[in-house]
Amino acid sequence: MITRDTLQLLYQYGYSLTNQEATAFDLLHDALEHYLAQQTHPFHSVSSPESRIRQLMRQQFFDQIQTPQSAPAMNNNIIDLLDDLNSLEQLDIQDDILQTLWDNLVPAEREILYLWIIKGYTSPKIAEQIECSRGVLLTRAHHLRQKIASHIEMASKQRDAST
Amino acid sequence: MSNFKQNLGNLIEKQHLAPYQIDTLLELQERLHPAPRKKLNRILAPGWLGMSALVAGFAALVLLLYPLIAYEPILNKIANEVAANHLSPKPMEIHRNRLTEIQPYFSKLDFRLASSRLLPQMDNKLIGGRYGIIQGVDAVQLCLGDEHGNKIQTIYQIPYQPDMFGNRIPDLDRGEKPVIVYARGIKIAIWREKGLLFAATREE
Repeated sequence: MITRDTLQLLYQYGYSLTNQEATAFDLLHDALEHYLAQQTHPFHSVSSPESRIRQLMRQQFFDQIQTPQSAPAMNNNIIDLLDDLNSLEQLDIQDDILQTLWDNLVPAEREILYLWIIKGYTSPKIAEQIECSRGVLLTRAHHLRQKIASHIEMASKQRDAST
Repeated sequence: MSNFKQNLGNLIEKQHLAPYQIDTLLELQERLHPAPRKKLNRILAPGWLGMSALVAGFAALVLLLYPLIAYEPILNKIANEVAANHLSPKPMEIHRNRLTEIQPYFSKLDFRLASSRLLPQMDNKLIGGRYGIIQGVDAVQLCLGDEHGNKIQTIYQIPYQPDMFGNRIPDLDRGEKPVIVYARGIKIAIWREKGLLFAATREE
Protein backbone atom coordinates (compact mmCIF):
# COMPACT_ATOMS: atom_id res chain seq x y z
CA MET A 1 0.00 0.00 0.00
CA ILE A 2 1.35 3.40 -0.97
CA THR A 3 0.87 5.59 2.09
CA ARG A 4 -0.74 9.02 2.22
CA ASP A 5 2.65 10.63 2.91
CA THR A 6 4.18 8.99 -0.13
CA LEU A 7 1.21 10.01 -2.25
CA GLN A 8 1.70 13.61 -1.12
CA LEU A 9 5.40 13.47 -2.03
CA LEU A 10 4.59 12.03 -5.43
CA TYR A 11 1.95 14.68 -6.00
CA GLN A 12 4.52 17.38 -5.19
CA TYR A 13 6.82 15.72 -7.70
CA GLY A 14 4.01 15.84 -10.26
CA TYR A 15 3.46 19.49 -9.45
CA SER A 16 7.17 20.17 -9.92
CA LEU A 17 6.99 18.67 -13.40
CA THR A 18 3.70 20.18 -14.52
CA ASN A 19 3.35 23.33 -12.40
CA GLN A 20 -0.40 22.62 -12.53
CA GLU A 21 -2.37 21.04 -9.71
CA ALA A 22 -4.98 19.19 -11.79
CA THR A 23 -2.41 17.86 -14.25
CA ALA A 24 -0.18 16.77 -11.38
CA PHE A 25 -3.02 14.70 -9.94
CA ASP A 26 -3.84 13.12 -13.30
CA LEU A 27 -0.18 12.27 -13.80
CA LEU A 28 0.02 10.63 -10.38
CA HIS A 29 -3.26 8.77 -10.86
CA ASP A 30 -2.21 7.31 -14.21
CA ALA A 31 1.26 6.36 -12.98
CA LEU A 32 -0.17 4.71 -9.86
CA GLU A 33 -2.64 2.74 -11.96
CA HIS A 34 0.16 1.69 -14.30
CA TYR A 35 2.34 0.69 -11.36
CA LEU A 36 -0.41 -1.39 -9.73
CA ALA A 37 -1.18 -3.12 -13.01
CA GLN A 38 2.45 -4.19 -13.20
CA GLN A 39 2.34 -5.74 -9.73
CA THR A 40 0.42 -8.80 -10.86
CA HIS A 41 2.83 -11.50 -9.87
CA PRO A 42 2.05 -12.78 -6.35
CA PHE A 43 5.63 -12.54 -5.14
CA HIS A 44 6.62 -9.56 -7.16
CA SER A 45 7.87 -6.67 -5.12
CA VAL A 46 9.59 -3.41 -5.91
CA SER A 47 12.20 -2.23 -3.44
CA SER A 48 11.09 1.39 -3.75
CA PRO A 49 7.55 1.85 -5.02
CA GLU A 50 7.90 5.63 -4.63
CA SER A 51 10.93 5.68 -6.89
CA ARG A 52 9.23 3.40 -9.45
CA ILE A 53 6.06 5.50 -9.55
CA ARG A 54 8.13 8.66 -9.90
CA GLN A 55 9.90 7.04 -12.83
CA LEU A 56 6.55 6.21 -14.45
CA MET A 57 5.29 9.76 -13.91
CA ARG A 58 8.42 11.09 -15.49
CA GLN A 59 8.23 8.85 -18.54
CA GLN A 60 4.58 9.66 -19.07
CA PHE A 61 5.05 13.39 -18.63
CA PHE A 62 7.96 13.75 -21.02
CA ASP A 63 6.28 11.44 -23.53
CA GLN A 64 3.21 13.67 -23.47
CA ILE A 65 5.04 16.92 -24.01
CA GLN A 66 7.41 15.24 -26.45
CA THR A 67 10.40 17.02 -25.06
CA PRO A 68 13.73 15.23 -24.96
CA GLN A 69 14.53 14.15 -21.43
CA SER A 70 18.21 14.58 -21.94
CA ALA A 71 19.93 17.86 -21.34
CA PRO A 72 22.13 19.78 -23.76
CA ALA A 73 25.45 18.24 -24.51
CA MET A 74 27.97 18.41 -21.76
CA ASN A 75 30.55 21.15 -21.95
CA ASN A 76 33.93 21.28 -20.31
CA ASN A 77 32.89 23.62 -17.57
CA ILE A 78 32.35 20.96 -14.95
CA ILE A 79 31.23 22.33 -11.64
CA ASP A 80 29.99 20.09 -8.91
CA LEU A 81 26.20 20.17 -8.76
CA LEU A 82 26.02 20.56 -5.04
CA ASP A 83 28.65 23.29 -4.98
CA ASP A 84 26.77 25.06 -7.73
CA LEU A 85 23.30 24.79 -6.27
CA ASN A 86 24.42 25.16 -2.69
CA SER A 87 25.69 28.61 -3.57
CA LEU A 88 22.00 29.45 -4.03
CA GLU A 89 21.01 28.07 -0.70
CA GLN A 90 21.42 31.20 1.36
CA LEU A 91 20.38 33.54 -1.40
CA ASP A 92 17.83 36.09 -0.24
CA ILE A 93 14.83 36.27 -2.49
CA GLN A 94 11.44 37.95 -2.30
CA ASP A 95 8.48 35.54 -2.15
CA ASP A 96 6.76 36.96 -5.22
CA ILE A 97 9.97 36.76 -7.22
CA LEU A 98 10.34 33.15 -6.16
CA GLN A 99 6.91 32.31 -7.60
CA THR A 100 7.63 33.97 -10.95
CA LEU A 101 10.98 32.21 -11.04
CA TRP A 102 9.27 28.86 -10.45
CA ASP A 103 6.76 29.58 -13.20
CA ASN A 104 9.55 30.44 -15.62
CA LEU A 105 11.55 27.28 -15.09
CA VAL A 106 11.10 24.37 -17.49
CA PRO A 107 9.89 21.01 -16.14
CA ALA A 108 13.33 19.39 -16.20
CA GLU A 109 14.71 22.27 -14.11
CA ARG A 110 11.90 22.12 -11.57
CA GLU A 111 12.46 18.37 -11.36
CA ILE A 112 16.10 18.85 -10.38
CA LEU A 113 15.10 21.35 -7.72
CA TYR A 114 12.47 18.95 -6.33
CA LEU A 115 14.98 16.10 -6.08
CA TRP A 116 17.59 18.38 -4.54
CA ILE A 117 15.37 20.21 -2.05
CA ILE A 118 12.50 17.87 -1.18
CA LYS A 119 14.25 14.52 -1.52
CA GLY A 120 17.69 15.78 -0.48
CA TYR A 121 19.41 13.69 -3.13
CA THR A 122 23.08 13.99 -4.02
CA SER A 123 24.17 14.65 -7.59
CA PRO A 124 24.87 10.95 -8.46
CA LYS A 125 21.43 10.03 -7.14
CA ILE A 126 19.73 12.83 -9.07
CA ALA A 127 21.57 11.78 -12.23
CA GLU A 128 20.32 8.22 -11.70
CA GLN A 129 16.75 9.40 -11.15
CA ILE A 130 16.59 11.58 -14.23
CA GLU A 131 18.49 9.02 -16.28
CA CYS A 132 21.39 11.09 -17.48
CA SER A 133 25.12 11.06 -16.95
CA ARG A 134 26.58 13.01 -14.08
CA GLY A 135 28.37 15.29 -16.50
CA VAL A 136 25.14 16.21 -18.24
CA LEU A 137 23.52 16.85 -14.89
CA LEU A 138 26.37 19.10 -13.79
CA THR A 139 26.05 21.15 -16.94
CA ARG A 140 22.33 21.44 -16.51
CA ALA A 141 22.74 22.46 -12.89
CA HIS A 142 25.23 25.11 -13.87
CA HIS A 143 22.82 26.58 -16.41
CA LEU A 144 20.07 26.41 -13.85
CA ARG A 145 22.12 28.30 -11.33
CA GLN A 146 22.84 31.02 -13.90
CA LYS A 147 19.20 31.21 -14.89
CA ILE A 148 18.04 31.58 -11.30
CA ALA A 149 20.62 34.24 -10.50
CA SER A 150 19.78 36.12 -13.68
CA HIS A 151 16.05 36.00 -12.99
CA ILE A 152 16.47 37.27 -9.45
CA GLU A 153 18.75 40.09 -10.56
CA MET A 154 16.39 41.16 -13.33
CA ALA A 155 13.29 40.96 -11.14
CA SER A 156 14.98 42.93 -8.38
CA LYS A 157 15.99 45.67 -10.85
CA GLN A 158 12.45 45.90 -12.17
CA ARG A 159 11.16 46.16 -8.65
CA ASP A 160 13.64 48.91 -7.79
CA ALA A 161 12.77 50.81 -10.98
CA SER A 162 9.06 50.70 -10.24
CA THR A 163 9.46 52.00 -6.68
CA MET B 1 13.49 38.39 2.26
CA SER B 2 14.14 34.78 2.97
CA ASN B 3 16.30 31.79 2.31
CA PHE B 4 16.06 30.50 -1.27
CA LYS B 5 16.21 26.77 -0.64
CA GLN B 6 13.89 26.82 2.33
CA ASN B 7 11.36 29.06 0.60
CA LEU B 8 11.36 27.04 -2.58
CA GLY B 9 10.87 23.91 -0.47
CA ASN B 10 7.89 25.59 1.19
CA LEU B 11 6.48 26.53 -2.20
CA ILE B 12 6.58 22.88 -3.32
CA GLU B 13 5.44 21.38 -0.02
CA LYS B 14 2.40 23.59 0.27
CA GLN B 15 0.96 21.61 -2.63
CA HIS B 16 -1.24 18.93 -1.11
CA LEU B 17 -3.66 16.39 -2.41
CA ALA B 18 -7.21 17.18 -1.34
CA PRO B 19 -8.89 14.53 0.87
CA TYR B 20 -11.13 13.38 -1.97
CA GLN B 21 -8.07 12.96 -4.20
CA ILE B 22 -6.34 10.85 -1.57
CA ASP B 23 -9.49 8.75 -1.24
CA THR B 24 -9.52 8.26 -5.00
CA LEU B 25 -5.93 7.04 -5.01
CA LEU B 26 -6.40 4.77 -1.99
CA GLU B 27 -9.53 3.27 -3.54
CA LEU B 28 -7.60 2.72 -6.75
CA GLN B 29 -5.05 0.73 -4.77
CA GLU B 30 -7.72 -1.30 -3.02
CA ARG B 31 -9.47 -2.02 -6.29
CA LEU B 32 -6.36 -3.18 -8.12
CA HIS B 33 -4.56 -4.69 -5.13
CA PRO B 34 -7.00 -5.73 -2.42
CA ALA B 35 -5.21 -5.98 0.91
CA PRO B 36 -6.39 -9.53 1.78
CA ARG B 37 -4.90 -10.92 -1.41
CA LYS B 38 -1.55 -9.38 -0.67
CA LYS B 39 -1.58 -10.71 2.88
CA LEU B 40 -2.46 -14.21 1.77
CA ASN B 41 0.21 -14.18 -0.87
CA ARG B 42 2.77 -13.20 1.71
CA ILE B 43 1.68 -15.95 4.07
CA LEU B 44 1.73 -18.49 1.27
CA ALA B 45 5.28 -17.66 0.26
CA PRO B 46 7.28 -20.89 0.15
CA GLY B 47 9.53 -21.63 3.09
CA TRP B 48 7.88 -19.16 5.36
CA LEU B 49 6.37 -21.64 7.73
CA GLY B 50 6.04 -25.36 8.11
CA MET B 51 2.85 -26.89 6.85
CA SER B 52 1.18 -27.11 10.25
CA ALA B 53 2.04 -23.55 11.12
CA LEU B 54 0.87 -22.52 7.67
CA VAL B 55 -2.53 -24.10 8.18
CA ALA B 56 -2.91 -22.60 11.65
CA GLY B 57 -1.68 -19.22 10.44
CA PHE B 58 -4.02 -19.32 7.48
CA ALA B 59 -7.01 -20.12 9.69
CA ALA B 60 -6.11 -17.32 12.09
CA LEU B 61 -5.60 -14.91 9.25
CA VAL B 62 -8.92 -15.76 7.66
CA LEU B 63 -10.62 -15.04 10.97
CA LEU B 64 -8.61 -11.89 11.50
CA LEU B 65 -9.14 -10.61 8.00
CA TYR B 66 -12.72 -11.71 7.69
CA PRO B 67 -14.02 -8.13 7.32
CA LEU B 68 -11.59 -7.42 4.52
CA ILE B 69 -12.16 -10.72 2.77
CA ALA B 70 -15.86 -10.02 2.91
CA TYR B 71 -14.90 -6.74 1.26
CA GLU B 72 -17.29 -4.66 3.25
CA PRO B 73 -15.80 -1.37 4.34
CA ILE B 74 -14.25 -1.84 7.72
CA LEU B 75 -15.65 1.44 8.99
CA ASN B 76 -19.22 0.27 8.48
CA LYS B 77 -18.49 -2.99 10.25
CA ILE B 78 -17.05 -1.22 13.26
CA ALA B 79 -19.89 1.27 13.30
CA ASN B 80 -22.49 -1.49 13.12
CA GLU B 81 -21.01 -3.31 16.10
CA VAL B 82 -20.72 -0.14 18.14
CA ALA B 83 -24.26 0.94 17.29
CA ALA B 84 -25.69 -2.48 18.13
CA ASN B 85 -23.99 -2.52 21.52
CA HIS B 86 -25.03 1.05 22.17
CA LEU B 87 -28.69 0.29 21.46
CA SER B 88 -28.69 -3.00 23.38
CA PRO B 89 -26.22 -2.38 26.16
CA LYS B 90 -24.95 -5.15 28.37
CA PRO B 91 -24.42 -4.48 32.06
CA MET B 92 -21.27 -2.67 33.12
CA GLU B 93 -18.72 -4.94 34.75
CA ILE B 94 -17.16 -2.13 36.71
CA HIS B 95 -18.44 1.26 37.78
CA ARG B 96 -15.86 4.00 38.20
CA ASN B 97 -15.79 7.69 37.32
CA ARG B 98 -12.16 8.12 36.36
CA LEU B 99 -10.06 6.43 33.68
CA THR B 100 -7.18 5.84 36.11
CA GLU B 101 -9.54 4.08 38.51
CA ILE B 102 -11.06 1.86 35.88
CA GLN B 103 -7.77 0.85 34.25
CA PRO B 104 -6.70 -1.79 36.84
CA TYR B 105 -9.85 -3.80 36.19
CA PHE B 106 -8.79 -4.41 32.59
CA SER B 107 -5.59 -6.21 33.56
CA LYS B 108 -6.12 -8.98 30.99
CA LEU B 109 -5.66 -6.63 28.07
CA ASP B 110 -2.40 -6.09 26.24
CA PHE B 111 -2.95 -2.33 26.00
CA ARG B 112 -3.68 0.56 28.32
CA LEU B 113 -6.70 2.76 28.14
CA ALA B 114 -6.00 6.30 26.99
CA SER B 115 -7.69 9.64 27.21
CA SER B 116 -8.55 11.40 23.96
CA ARG B 117 -8.35 15.02 22.96
CA LEU B 118 -11.83 14.56 21.53
CA LEU B 119 -13.26 13.40 24.82
CA PRO B 120 -12.14 15.98 27.39
CA GLN B 121 -15.22 15.25 29.49
CA MET B 122 -14.32 11.58 29.87
CA ASP B 123 -13.38 11.76 33.56
CA ASN B 124 -16.41 13.82 34.51
CA LYS B 125 -18.98 11.67 32.78
CA LEU B 126 -17.51 8.18 32.98
CA ILE B 127 -19.96 5.67 34.44
CA GLY B 128 -18.13 2.43 33.96
CA GLY B 129 -16.90 -0.14 31.51
CA ARG B 130 -16.76 -3.76 30.41
CA TYR B 131 -14.68 -6.04 28.27
CA GLY B 132 -15.87 -6.07 24.68
CA ILE B 133 -14.93 -7.24 21.24
CA ILE B 134 -14.77 -5.27 18.01
CA GLN B 135 -14.17 -7.20 14.82
CA GLY B 136 -12.93 -10.13 16.87
CA VAL B 137 -10.34 -8.04 18.71
CA ASP B 138 -10.39 -7.60 22.50
CA ALA B 139 -11.67 -4.15 23.30
CA VAL B 140 -12.83 -2.02 26.18
CA GLN B 141 -16.30 -0.58 26.13
CA LEU B 142 -16.67 2.58 28.21
CA CYS B 143 -19.90 4.35 29.00
CA LEU B 144 -20.40 8.00 29.69
CA GLY B 145 -23.56 9.30 31.34
CA ASP B 146 -25.40 12.48 32.13
CA GLU B 147 -25.68 14.10 35.54
CA HIS B 148 -28.35 11.55 36.52
CA GLY B 149 -26.16 8.61 35.65
CA ASN B 150 -28.13 7.75 32.52
CA LYS B 151 -25.98 6.27 29.80
CA ILE B 152 -25.59 8.66 26.89
CA GLN B 153 -22.43 7.66 25.07
CA THR B 154 -20.58 4.44 24.25
CA ILE B 155 -16.87 4.49 23.54
CA TYR B 156 -14.69 1.63 22.36
CA GLN B 157 -10.93 1.47 22.56
CA ILE B 158 -8.86 -1.24 20.88
CA PRO B 159 -5.24 -1.47 19.81
CA TYR B 160 -4.81 -0.08 16.31
CA GLN B 161 -3.91 -2.88 13.89
CA PRO B 162 -2.79 -1.62 10.47
CA ASP B 163 -3.13 -5.08 8.94
CA MET B 164 -6.76 -5.09 9.85
CA PHE B 165 -7.76 -1.48 9.60
CA GLY B 166 -5.36 -0.29 6.91
CA ASN B 167 -4.17 3.29 6.84
CA ARG B 168 -7.43 4.93 6.01
CA ILE B 169 -8.72 5.61 9.49
CA PRO B 170 -7.92 9.22 10.41
CA ASP B 171 -5.03 9.72 12.79
CA LEU B 172 -5.58 12.52 15.32
CA ASP B 173 -1.89 12.62 16.13
CA ARG B 174 -1.30 13.70 12.53
CA GLY B 175 -3.87 16.45 12.63
CA GLU B 176 -6.60 14.49 10.89
CA LYS B 177 -10.25 14.63 11.87
CA PRO B 178 -12.39 11.65 12.85
CA VAL B 179 -14.53 10.04 10.22
CA ILE B 180 -18.26 10.08 10.90
CA VAL B 181 -20.26 6.97 10.05
CA TYR B 182 -23.95 6.35 10.60
CA ALA B 183 -25.15 2.89 11.58
CA ARG B 184 -28.62 1.93 12.74
CA GLY B 185 -29.46 5.61 13.02
CA ILE B 186 -26.57 6.27 15.40
CA LYS B 187 -23.85 8.78 14.59
CA ILE B 188 -20.44 7.30 15.30
CA ALA B 189 -17.03 8.93 15.19
CA ILE B 190 -14.05 6.70 14.43
CA TRP B 191 -10.42 7.70 14.67
CA ARG B 192 -7.02 6.56 15.84
CA GLU B 193 -5.00 8.21 18.51
CA LYS B 194 -2.07 7.20 20.72
CA GLY B 195 -1.86 3.85 18.93
CA LEU B 196 -5.48 2.99 19.69
CA LEU B 197 -8.61 2.91 17.60
CA PHE B 198 -11.46 4.89 19.12
CA ALA B 199 -15.11 4.51 18.16
CA ALA B 200 -17.58 6.73 19.96
CA THR B 201 -21.30 7.30 19.56
CA ARG B 202 -22.30 10.93 19.33
CA GLU B 203 -25.45 12.78 20.15
CA GLU B 204 -27.02 14.46 17.14
